[in-house]
Amino acid sequence: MKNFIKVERAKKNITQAELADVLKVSRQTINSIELGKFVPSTILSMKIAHFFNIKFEELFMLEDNDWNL
Amino acid sequence: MKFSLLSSLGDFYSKKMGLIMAAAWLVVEVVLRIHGVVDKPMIGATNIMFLGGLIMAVFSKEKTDDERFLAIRYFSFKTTMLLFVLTIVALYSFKYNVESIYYAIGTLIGYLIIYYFCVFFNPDFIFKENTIKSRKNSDVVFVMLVLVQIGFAVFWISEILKM
Repeated sequence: MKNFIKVERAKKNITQAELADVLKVSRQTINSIELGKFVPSTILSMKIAHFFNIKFEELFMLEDNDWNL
Repeated sequence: MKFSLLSSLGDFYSKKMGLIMAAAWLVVEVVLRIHGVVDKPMIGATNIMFLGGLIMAVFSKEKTDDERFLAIRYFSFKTTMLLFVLTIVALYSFKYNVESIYYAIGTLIGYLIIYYFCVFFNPDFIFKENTIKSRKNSDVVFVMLVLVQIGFAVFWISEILKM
């Protein structure tokens, strides 16, 4: 799953650590999500979208290979 | 006993306590072995204290524990389980240690029972990894363990001095 967290973070000018603090997760978790290594749960994904005040589907996007899972 | 306690993990404080305890008892054992102490019950008791520290460190959460750690914990336990079974099989194959194979069989049967119990009854606690946060109880346990540790260390020093 593709995401635009890094882009949104840059727009808001906040660091991974600051975002992690708000969401009560570790900085490494935010880093893993941004790199696409870790797919967050629905709850965490919605929290992230809520934090950036954008729609869920504007922040996360399914890739072609996700349909084959 | 509440079944949900089985999925509970200690907080980060338990992890720190456990690691300190395990390290301390490892040092004690190394010192004892350097001094040539081979008293099996006493070495065994030291090992049990070391194991206690490891259990506390393993079954506890991180400082900022989140869903990523849950996935990492699952992978680590799975890999450890596989390595454990392979080690047992190796012991059985090379040393023909018949008893050891029962540990592997028992562990895997235990896994299957827990797995199918959860599949059929679908208890909600398995989806919520709880944390034991009774700092008060942790402190009592910690003080007791430190006292046992000091007592054990004093005993061993006196034993070494006698030799």
